[in-house]
Amino acid sequence: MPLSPLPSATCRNEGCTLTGALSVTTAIRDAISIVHGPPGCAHHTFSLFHGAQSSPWDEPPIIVSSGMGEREVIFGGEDALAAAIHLAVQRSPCAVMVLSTCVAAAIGDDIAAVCADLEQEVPIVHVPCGGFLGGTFNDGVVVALTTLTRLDKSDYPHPGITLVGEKNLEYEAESNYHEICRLLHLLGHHVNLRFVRGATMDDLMRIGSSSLNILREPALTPVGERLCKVHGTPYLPSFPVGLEGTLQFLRDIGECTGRAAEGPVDQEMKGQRLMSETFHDITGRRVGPPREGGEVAEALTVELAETFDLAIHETAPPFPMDGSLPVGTAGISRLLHRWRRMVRA
Amino acid sequence: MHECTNPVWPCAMVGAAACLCGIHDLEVVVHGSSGCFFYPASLLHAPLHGTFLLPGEAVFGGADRLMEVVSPLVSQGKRVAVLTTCVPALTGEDVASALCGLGTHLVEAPGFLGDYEEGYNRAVSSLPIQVDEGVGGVNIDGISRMDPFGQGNLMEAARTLALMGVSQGSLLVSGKWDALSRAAPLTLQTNPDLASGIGETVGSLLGFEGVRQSAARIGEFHPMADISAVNQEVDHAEERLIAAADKYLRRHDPPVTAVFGEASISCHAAGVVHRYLDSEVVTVMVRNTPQDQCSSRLPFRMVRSTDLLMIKEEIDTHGPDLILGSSFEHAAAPDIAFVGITPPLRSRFRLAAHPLVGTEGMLFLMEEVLNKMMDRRAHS
Repeated sequence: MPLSPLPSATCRNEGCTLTGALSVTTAIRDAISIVHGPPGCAHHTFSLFHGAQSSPWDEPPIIVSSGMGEREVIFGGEDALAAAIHLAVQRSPCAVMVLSTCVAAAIGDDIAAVCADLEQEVPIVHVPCGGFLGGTFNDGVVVALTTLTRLDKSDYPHPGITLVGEKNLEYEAESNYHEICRLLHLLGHHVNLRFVRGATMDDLMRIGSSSLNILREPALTPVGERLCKVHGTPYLPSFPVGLEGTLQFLRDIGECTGRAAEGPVDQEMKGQRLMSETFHDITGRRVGPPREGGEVAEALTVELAETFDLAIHETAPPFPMDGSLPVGTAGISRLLHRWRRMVRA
Repeated sequence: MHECTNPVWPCAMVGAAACLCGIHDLEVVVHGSSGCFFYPASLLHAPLHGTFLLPGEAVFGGADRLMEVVSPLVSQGKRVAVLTTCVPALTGEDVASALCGLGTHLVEAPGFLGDYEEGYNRAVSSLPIQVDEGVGGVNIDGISRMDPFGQGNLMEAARTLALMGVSQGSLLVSGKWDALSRAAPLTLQTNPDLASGIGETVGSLLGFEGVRQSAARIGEFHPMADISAVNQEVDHAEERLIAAADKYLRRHDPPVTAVFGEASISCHAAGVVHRYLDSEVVTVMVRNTPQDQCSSRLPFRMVRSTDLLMIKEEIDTHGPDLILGSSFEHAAAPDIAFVGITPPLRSRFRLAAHPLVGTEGMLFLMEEVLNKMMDRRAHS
């Protein structure tokens, strides 16, 4: 599709906070998300979720629009929001998440006050994203996660490892999760909390008792920092990328949790060697430089080129890192399968 | 407007974009954030431009940014339309003044104005469409880039006119910009919900009766038009359709049907299964307010909703064994036989341009209904 976002500029094409925040709040089990804005904003995102079939469970998420129209734009939309909250509460959710659009932000609706004034039996959580006026898709993810960290109840003593900010719209989200579980299992650990993917409100309330947080990607560092500052929880900045990156991930987990990592690292190296042998036929081929993914993608391309004795050449097909970087050794294997299919086709 | 859960229909901005993108030699610039740009860009499969406003530009004015995007296009000799979104409309940005002297076309259709049809119709109204009494032929109306059957409907309307030996006038809205200023005095409708109001309407191609009546009306203005060719084709097609429906009914009970979509097409589709399959139509739930009186002509319960939970409740309440609608309804009730008549239609490949209107559209719709019912029975 010949899209032409002229001229290109960083941040300009990184979407809207609303979609990012909704990708988090709609992953809370049995919660309802309210989009305070015109119905079109809720439709855009719901349609995206529907098309991506990305929900962590079978049923599509419930997104209520406050239905702002011309009247609300002129006279204020707070009554419409209150009505939408009442509608949502009638469905007996575990919580109602209230997200603002650029329209609500531009007309200055006091959403926090509306949420605070309503006495309801379920938590009404204001996620102050403000549509694109609040930043980009990733800013929306960060603000939603940060808001949810405030729900912590310190009387939940369930220490363990927490995954923070899994990409719920990512096609590979579940397979990435299973790869992390496999790596943690090598060290005798398991995932205690997925913050936020299919978690209940009760689950979210024990975020503060986590013993180690693993962020999905470095862009979530503000969330990791906040949890570190408030609860003293150490964090790793990213899921593992690359062969050596995966081994280092194991070492880092071992260091943070006091477990010996040498054995698991040896075991993983052995697995990586076996995996590499299945790709012996790509040796000597040419691979292109990555088109996206930045420095990490470049470093990964160099690492794989060295591992498999590939020549990096401008006109050759790059490793397919469209949208996200491969996670762990399994991610590398799938990446190589897709690339080998590309160069064969 | 009022609160709505999981809304299934786009906003006015998307409708306006769907209209403007139909003009082949028009570069459409969405003046707003990237969030507003991506949805129509992915839905319409059309080359769009965006200003991709940043928060500071929304607060302090996005005129400079707009010029940064529009000026290179204008300097390349391109014809440009600028479509404003919610925030520039709210901040009172004087977009018209910013574009003054550039010869660009401005359409203000912020999403909060209403739904898809509102934006589409607003964009059509803004176009410099002129009826030229000296132009022969018949305009084809109601074409939208969002409609998965839009191209098929256009081709079917053109084929029908050709069968009569009548030339086609302007395509509303499809084709080139200059053709808009030479519209014919008569207009043939393919989707009454998107009626442009340009020229005198000769009717629509919804259903066999619609085709017959429209052909007769065209014949009143074009005495040389071969009406009999259309009537013969319609008669023959109707016989085939009745024979197929009868064959189905010899073995099976008629389906209990629920219909979801734009008002005119939904009424049309409900009428087809009711008339030719003796189907009980338990609900017609429409996305928009009907533009014509289709609801008063049909013995169906018709309600308006774009709320997916209400749609699902309607399906659960009535328990149809056939759904005509979009992939939203299909996803809500995946075990019920489904025929797509409304966008979006996801999870299946669509390459050919199938019509839903005209003679071929009738045959296609019935073919889909019968085959889906047969498939469903075979698997149940």
